[in-house]
Amino acid sequence: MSEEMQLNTIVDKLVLDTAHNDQATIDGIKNLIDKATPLVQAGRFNNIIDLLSIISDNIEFLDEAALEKTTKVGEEILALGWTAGNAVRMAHAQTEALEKPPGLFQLISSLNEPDVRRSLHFFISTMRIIGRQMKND
Amino acid sequence: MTNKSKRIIVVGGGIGGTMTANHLVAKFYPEILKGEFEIMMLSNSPNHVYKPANMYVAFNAYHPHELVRKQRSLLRPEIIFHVDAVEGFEFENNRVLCESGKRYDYEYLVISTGCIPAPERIEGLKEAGDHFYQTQAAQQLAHKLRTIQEGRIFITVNFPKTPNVPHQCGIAPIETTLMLDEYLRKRGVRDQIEIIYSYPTVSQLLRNCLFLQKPTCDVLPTIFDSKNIKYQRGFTLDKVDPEAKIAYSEEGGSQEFDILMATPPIRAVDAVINSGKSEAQNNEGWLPTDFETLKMYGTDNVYVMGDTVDLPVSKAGGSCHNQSPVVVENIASEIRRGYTSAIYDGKVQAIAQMGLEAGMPLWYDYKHDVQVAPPTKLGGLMRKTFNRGIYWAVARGIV
Repeated sequence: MSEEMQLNTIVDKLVLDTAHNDQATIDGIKNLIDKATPLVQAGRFNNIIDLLSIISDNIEFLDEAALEKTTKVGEEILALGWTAGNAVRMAHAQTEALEKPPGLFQLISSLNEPDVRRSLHFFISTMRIIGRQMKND
Repeated sequence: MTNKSKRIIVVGGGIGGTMTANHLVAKFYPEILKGEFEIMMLSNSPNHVYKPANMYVAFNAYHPHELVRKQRSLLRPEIIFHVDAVEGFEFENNRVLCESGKRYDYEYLVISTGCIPAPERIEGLKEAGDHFYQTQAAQQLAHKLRTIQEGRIFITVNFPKTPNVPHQCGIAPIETTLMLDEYLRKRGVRDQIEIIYSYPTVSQLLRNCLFLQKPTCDVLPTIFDSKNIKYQRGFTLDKVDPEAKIAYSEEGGSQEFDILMATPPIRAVDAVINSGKSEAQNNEGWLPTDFETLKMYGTDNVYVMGDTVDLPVSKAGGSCHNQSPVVVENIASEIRRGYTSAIYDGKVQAIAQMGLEAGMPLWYDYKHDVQVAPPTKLGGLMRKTFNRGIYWAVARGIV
């Protein structure tokens, strides 16, 4: 089929298709073409096409296994940030509400509270694990 | 609770209760800081299970522990959390009674206790049927689906007897039927296994359809035909003969099966059924709920959400996501302004899993049915991302 015949076939199809053969559709597409023309002429539209192509390629590459790994990391970071943020916000509010700072003896005795001891254990464990990771094997 | 502070209790640690308790803390933060209000959650479990993903367990696509998080880890620290199942509601005294024997007073109460599959309500279904709405049941079904070599899988959907109340998660039977087709093709046994999808004569306001909304019902035959999935309208499961492996319908039909994959009848939890407030049929227990304010009829300070309502909207997390802000805003408005100000429009959103890979975002409300869009791989990736991560952000009230 020659190029001219191909073009005529496309035009015929567009004319027959009522969704395409609609003034609002034609006007809309014309506006889009007008808007895109300077970008196409200057070669700047090529970058957009390349970007779309990369996005599309990545969607093709994404599979269940990749998604499982990335979402797991995402959830862990989010949970960590959320938990830490909540604790800071609540502790901040409690500290602001103090009429006067706790005395030294009060602070030392609070180290014996089960929740504080649990939290200290958490920090010490974290340091132990970081230290182990830093050790020269 | 200090002498001057008032308490809002959320009963139920599922997705609805969890996101609502977190939203309440954010909404009432100034009052909480001043010690005027406290938010309490009462749940029957220290763990939170992502229930809808049990359907993936049925196809061995998830390990059950991947669907569980510690409930405390999903709650803001300002929430007072007790693992203590509520056994009784004393609405007149603004008090709940717990399994431990403790009683808790409340200023406002949110009931989000979900629903329970009740296959025992149809003769023979518990013995012969399988479902994917609970972890253990899904694991049992997974074993059967992994080993079946030939035969018939019959799919049945059972609605509550209360008029215009849907079964659990409206789209789940379609999702699992399409997943089943692809799963069996992947295993290479699809040609030896017949799949028959059935739907009851009465599905909420529709009659003789294949789904609870007409636009979807209209496109289903084309989808099923293209996958050689057989379908039967007008099959309201009446009883099952576990020995002969035959399902009988109220309409007089019967179907033989090797696997009976059912969306079983459902009911509210015992404490809600026993509250005496339900007007639902068949002792199902749905609480009478104002469809706009989500307040329970007959009370001034009790709100109901999620599966526990008697509304015509899907019993699914996608409903809770839209109901929760309305409940929270109305409680805040009542306390601060003296009247409710938010209206629930019946909106439900979800991303339907259409087969093992494709997904289809959908939404509808009281006035508009689902607009069916083509399922895509991108939609499928969105659903999987939600399952693996975004769900937990939703529970924490972040999204």
